[in-house]
Amino acid sequence: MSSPFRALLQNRKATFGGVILLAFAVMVVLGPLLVSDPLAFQGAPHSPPSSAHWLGTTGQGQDVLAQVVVGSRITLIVGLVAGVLVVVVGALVGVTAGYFGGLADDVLSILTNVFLVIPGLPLAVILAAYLPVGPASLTAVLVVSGWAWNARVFRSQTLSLRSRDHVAASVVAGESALRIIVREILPNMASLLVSSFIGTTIYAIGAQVGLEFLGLGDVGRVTWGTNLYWAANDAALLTGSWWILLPTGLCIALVGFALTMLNFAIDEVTNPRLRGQSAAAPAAPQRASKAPRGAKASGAALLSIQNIVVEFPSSTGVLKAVDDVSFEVHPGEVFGLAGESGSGKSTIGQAILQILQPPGRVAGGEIVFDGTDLLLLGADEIRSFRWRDGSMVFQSAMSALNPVLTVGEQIEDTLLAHGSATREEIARRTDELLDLVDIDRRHASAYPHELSGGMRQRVVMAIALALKPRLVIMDEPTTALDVVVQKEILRRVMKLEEELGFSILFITHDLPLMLAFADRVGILYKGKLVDVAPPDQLELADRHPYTRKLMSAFPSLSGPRSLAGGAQAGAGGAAPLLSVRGLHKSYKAGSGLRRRLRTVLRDVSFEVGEGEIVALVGESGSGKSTITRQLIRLERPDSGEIVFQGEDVLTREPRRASLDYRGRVQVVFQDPFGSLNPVHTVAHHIARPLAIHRRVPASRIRERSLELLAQVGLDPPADYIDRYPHSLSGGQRQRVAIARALAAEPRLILADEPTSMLDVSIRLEVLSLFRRLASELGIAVLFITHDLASARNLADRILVLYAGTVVEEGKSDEVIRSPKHPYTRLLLSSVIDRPEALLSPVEAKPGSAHDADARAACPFSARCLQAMPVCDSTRPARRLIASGHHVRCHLHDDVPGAMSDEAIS
Amino acid sequence: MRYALRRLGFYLLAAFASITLNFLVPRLMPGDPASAMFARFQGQMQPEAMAALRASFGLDAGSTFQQYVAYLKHVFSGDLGRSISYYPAPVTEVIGTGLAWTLVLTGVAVILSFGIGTLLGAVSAWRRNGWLDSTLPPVLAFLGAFPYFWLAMLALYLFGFVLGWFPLRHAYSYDIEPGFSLTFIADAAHHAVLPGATIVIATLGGWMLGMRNNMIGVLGADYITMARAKGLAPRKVLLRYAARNALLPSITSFGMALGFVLGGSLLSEIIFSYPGLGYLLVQAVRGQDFPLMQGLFLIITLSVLAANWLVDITIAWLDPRTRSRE
Repeated sequence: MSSPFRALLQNRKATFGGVILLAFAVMVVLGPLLVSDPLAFQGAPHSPPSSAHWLGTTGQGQDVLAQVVVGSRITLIVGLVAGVLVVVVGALVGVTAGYFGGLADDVLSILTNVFLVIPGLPLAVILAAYLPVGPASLTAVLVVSGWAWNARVFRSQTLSLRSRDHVAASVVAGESALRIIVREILPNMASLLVSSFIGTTIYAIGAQVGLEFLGLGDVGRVTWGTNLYWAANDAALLTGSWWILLPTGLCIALVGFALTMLNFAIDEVTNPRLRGQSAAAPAAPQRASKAPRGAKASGAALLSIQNIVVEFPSSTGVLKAVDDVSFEVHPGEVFGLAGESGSGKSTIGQAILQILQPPGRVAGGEIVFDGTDLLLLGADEIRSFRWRDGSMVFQSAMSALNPVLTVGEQIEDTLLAHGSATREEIARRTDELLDLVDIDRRHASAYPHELSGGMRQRVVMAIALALKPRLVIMDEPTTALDVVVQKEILRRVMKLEEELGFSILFITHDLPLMLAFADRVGILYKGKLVDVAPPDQLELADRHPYTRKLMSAFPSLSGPRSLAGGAQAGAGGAAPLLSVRGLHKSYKAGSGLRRRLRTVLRDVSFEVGEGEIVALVGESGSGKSTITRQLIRLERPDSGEIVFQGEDVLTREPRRASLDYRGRVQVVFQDPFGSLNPVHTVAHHIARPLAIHRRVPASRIRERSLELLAQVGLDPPADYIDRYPHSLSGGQRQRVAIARALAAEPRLILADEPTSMLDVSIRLEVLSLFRRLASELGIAVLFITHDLASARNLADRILVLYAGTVVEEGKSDEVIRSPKHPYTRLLLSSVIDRPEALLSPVEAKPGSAHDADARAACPFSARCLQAMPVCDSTRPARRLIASGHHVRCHLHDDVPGAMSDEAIS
Repeated sequence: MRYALRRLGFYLLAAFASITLNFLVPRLMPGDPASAMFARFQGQMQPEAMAALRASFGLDAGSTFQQYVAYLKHVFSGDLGRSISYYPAPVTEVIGTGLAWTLVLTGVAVILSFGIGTLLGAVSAWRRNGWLDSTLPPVLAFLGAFPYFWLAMLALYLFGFVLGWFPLRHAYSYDIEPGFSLTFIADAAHHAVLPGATIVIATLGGWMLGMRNNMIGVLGADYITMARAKGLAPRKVLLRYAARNALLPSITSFGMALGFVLGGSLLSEIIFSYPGLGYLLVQAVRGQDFPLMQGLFLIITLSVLAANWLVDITIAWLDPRTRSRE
């Protein structure tokens, strides 16, 4: 909290505003003591400024200076008090509505919205007209006419904070609603509170002056508003007495301006982007010094990058994002750039097209494309190079497409930018391009939000190929996609590359995928290219140490399981720790008359044994996070049982989870940046569960926190305990989140994709931490993931989820080695970890878990290549086909020895 | 269009709420100001004016609920009672003459100001730290900090009184017959320049800064980088990709600020003795003309609601995501 405050003190606008406000504060307190009686007759009316009356006299012969000084008192105090009250009322209504939701929210937000559209001044006028005159009623009028805006702002802020993982984590820790609002939500709104207060005070002063000017105040008192009222009534203008109204107006404006400047400063401090550089296309050559054209540019290379350096100057020094990197891409070649976040891989891609985000610039080296040094080109030349010769596929297709233009319009823009084309040509080319990426031509008139993630990525690819470029830069083109879609897209890219013969610069952190896809791979580490080799040579032992480290960072689907536990009892034997039976959950979708139910979980049953690690594997939309929310009791399932340690918790504690349950079931979320509250130190995060569940006496909390930090590998713990989350890396934050979960001394930890947002080199470390917790402390882990390889390596058992149904479950090795359900096989065959993986076609009809109908007899039958008539009519039973191996599929109805669970029970 | 109809439903609800508020305010105030008011007017007003006043408040209709029903009937039949200061003219008639002037003056000024401000904001964000970006925001923020009516006074004094470039009062010269003649329109425009310019100058900064901040947000988006990477001309990236998207939140806040801006412009009308709603408002306040005051509240609120509905339709037209949202 201290650093934004200090930043504010250093801000010029804040200093300027603060000094002016301080001067007015002095005037309010001391001023009236120093001037004469503002209402007394002092001399000739309408006399101009003189030595006796510095600012002249009013139409009634009163001293203008005295009126301005004395008037500041009531005006500014009323403005300030109204500002505080409006923010308090607005924040109370907004936070209540936002936090509690439901009916309270519905009623309050309708009320807020209604008051928001009712214009303030006319409402204030009728209120003021009926109320007795005076500062108190003026304040009341300002509050009634102004609260709605604040309520709205605070409500939306609360809604966004409430959905953050650190609030959910506090709920799961057993924190009370009041404490969450006061300690976890309100502190995050500090800057909003201040800026709303400032904005509201500006409004309150303006509206107050306006009402008094209309004659709705107490015209017998001296305020800035009544000063102007009398100025107008005494015909100050017609007599040319500008000095009567000028000082008061200037004072009002100065106060308003100073407050506005303070708000600007707060905006700049809290939103660093506002301080940034020009976003307009910078002049083309971004290179500081021009090296003479090197003869090195080999004739064979399509793209030759020589000794390129990219710098990002900042106030603390110059960051070299790319440091002396050289490589070549040959015609028709796929060159892969692999590296972790911060390695500079995307920066190289942007440098080639010269679309570096300011203040980044190429500080040295050459980028030679087909004999031309791109860094020497002028703005227009580089613009015509872009896309015609080198195009780019961006990582996130949702944000790479303009949301307000149709797919067709965005293709058309590209074609028009590089030469005029007739309407027919554009239409024909659009059709061709959509055919190329296998998208229905009708979708040319669709907007991006109407397409699925995979379709959007294919549209981005179609746009990239629009001008038949010779080089396509692909920056993590499939990272945001599910494995099946990823394979589809990569196969499409391979086919296009063969047909059209363009070169690809492929950028990704996913090394196994790169090995399957690229002809040569470059390994980047902290801006330096440490290794370049064909994929088969990267696996050799004598590579660069970082290459070896990166190669071993990916869990594999074959070979020994690196994180396997010892002898595990599995689900058999003793009574399970957790037993989920027949869980159903559906959500309301749509609104009004078209409201309908969307089934997300259907008859989900599974068990987790003491100290067991069970992986729940599924693509996005499969319902795996919904299961988490039911188990940590943020939501309540429609039906089904959650039996924990032998007791049905939904019956025992139907509305709110008991503190006991909260202590025993903890969660670690996916995003380590969202799951810690930025305003609290590490100590707070760990101390709260210790205090809530009274795991140690208050005097031992710090000592125990240090132990926990050491336990999760933050060593020495004393270096971490007093730090704020923003000064920790992603991996360190995730360890803090795990320590917080451990503090409650749980028996079960739900780990919701705990490593998917971490850099690859630390994923294994975090996963092995879970294994240690299971084997050393006997804590069971429900590991939720989309990654089959890490599931296999870490978990004792795997559950495969599709469209809210568990389609297969069994021991990890067995499910991976001999998958029985067609969907499990599809998932496995879509994992790209060896070159052959891309050769086989995707073994399913198009579709996704998102679109699957969970109410169908078998949700997968619509995509299943082996679907039979019975699949559409009868829901397959959960069948035991081998020890502990269950599958829900009609293909196994007749397998000898298979028996339906229903038959057993 | 489903969306437009749903928004209409909301505004009808808001209209109903403000009509009810209009009924409740005089009754909820401490010390029964309505009776106090009658006491004050006792003996000063003609008996028939008193009767009209009572009727316009519905005070002769029995229980509060019956009064409410009677009041609703009156409102829906377009009867807002009779004005005291313009007695015996009906409130609707008094307001009718002012409404047109205010709508034209404020409407044109606000749209002009929003257009210019948005354009300036877009350019200023596009050329970050350029001369436009470093000079205009503080200057406009300073101008925006003055009360509208104070700027109006200054403008009137300088350009009307001292320099004599513009007329001092009213919306048209008395010696010109109002009508659709070129001379009349030119004369009315001449009268509207100062009040209009005051509104434009006072509000410009708000629109500009809003658009500038939206633009800065949008300029960081991937689709802007992709548009640049596609080799589109800078002008096209600015207008079709950046400004087009940044405009959407600007228009939303335009709708929400309308009521506020209208309040300010009413006050500057007073300075120019412009015969719009603002002028009537000050007449109503000075003459303690409660029926007129309440009628004005209702009419102004309904106009703002209607304008907001138009804003919503504009957004739906500009933003495909709003249209398809169920």
